Amino acid sequence: MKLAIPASGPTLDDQVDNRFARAPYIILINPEDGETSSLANPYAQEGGGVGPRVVQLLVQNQVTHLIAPRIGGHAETALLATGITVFMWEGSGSVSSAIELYKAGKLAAMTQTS
Amino acid sequence: MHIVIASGKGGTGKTTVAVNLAFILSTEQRVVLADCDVEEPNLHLFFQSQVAEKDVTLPVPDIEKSTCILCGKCGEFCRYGALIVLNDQVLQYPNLCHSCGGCSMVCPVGSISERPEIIGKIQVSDPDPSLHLVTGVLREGSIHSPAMIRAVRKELSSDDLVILDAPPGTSCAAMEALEGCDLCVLVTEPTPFGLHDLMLIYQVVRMFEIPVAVVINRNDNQDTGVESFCREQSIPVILKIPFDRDIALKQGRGRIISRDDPVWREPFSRMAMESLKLAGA
Ligand code: SF4
Ligand code: SF4
Repeated sequence: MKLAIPASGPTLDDQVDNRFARAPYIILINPEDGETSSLANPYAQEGGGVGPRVVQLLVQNQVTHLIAPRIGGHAETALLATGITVFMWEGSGSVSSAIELYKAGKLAAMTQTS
Repeated sequence: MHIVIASGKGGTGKTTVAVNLAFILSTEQRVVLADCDVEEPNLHLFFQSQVAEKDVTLPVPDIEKSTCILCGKCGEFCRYGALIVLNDQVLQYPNLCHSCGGCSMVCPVGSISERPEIIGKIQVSDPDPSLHLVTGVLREGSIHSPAMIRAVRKELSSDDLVILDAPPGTSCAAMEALEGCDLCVLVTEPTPFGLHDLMLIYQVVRMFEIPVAVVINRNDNQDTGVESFCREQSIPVILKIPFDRDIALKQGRGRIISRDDPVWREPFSRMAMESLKLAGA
């Protein structure tokens, strides 16, 4: 599995960004072996339609799970079409704290019917 | 000759001015009134009559699933997110498409052709033998106001006397309505916000080198800077409409005050004459 988290910077100590498609970085983690990498979001500064494009980027990077804050309508339909499991992120904290919460099963998965 | 009615923000009384200017002018000559406020057209509420309509479309990609090899090229190419390539499908958002045609050019197997997507409709009517109304109605959720306004303007002849009602603000859509007009009438309110928005849109209109006139609506004779700004910039103020509950009420009921209220005929007639003069008639 591969977990993606939008972040304000490229490391685990950076904050989870509260904008999904416009976060400057996306951190990718395999929670099983702990392998992490980061992806500069090429669409962070762009005009419109960034939601679907970031979802496409996640698919290209074989992402299976996503921790994300508020998600726009277009990104949401795209995510539903991919089958990526989305966990809701409310509040604030670092990427590593988000991973801990995920591992502890404390993040709620978004229902597919919304 | 094209006279456009614009404002820096919504709710300033742009409609009142467009409706009454068109009505007054139509008592003397043939007038075309074009509602370019395509997200919220409302001039038809004042001029009700039999309407003929036609669809306005833009070409969007049509993907043949049976031949698509999910190579990802179209999704990489589209900068608007109007199509993305997932593991098992190409997902489309036709309402985000800008009809650039690029995706069909990059597809290596020719799976992409074009189909028309409806972005709205144009309604035309003749509420009076000397008044022709053209209304652009953008489909809800569409981002294509500028294309819709271009479609409305295609219906207009440069030989006609045309009054255009522009969308409020300084958006791309508003620019589509302003461009190439002979006079821009800016409607504003005598408040600090009104002045701020007036200054913004005035800068834009000046770039187009269109003559400008101002109408002050809900005028309470307390100058908050709008009049001095107009004086400084030598912008003629061609009408002041006082703050009046009666006017607001009649407007709300779809009444044309320059037709139904003799008190208002004269001021609007004077404004109409001024407008024609400034537009170079
Ligand atoms: S026509 Fe242009 S904007 Fe529309 S989907 Fe294709 S590439 Fe994107
Ligand atoms: S470019 Fe053509 S073949 Fe490739 S994913 Fe798009 S439609 Fe399919």
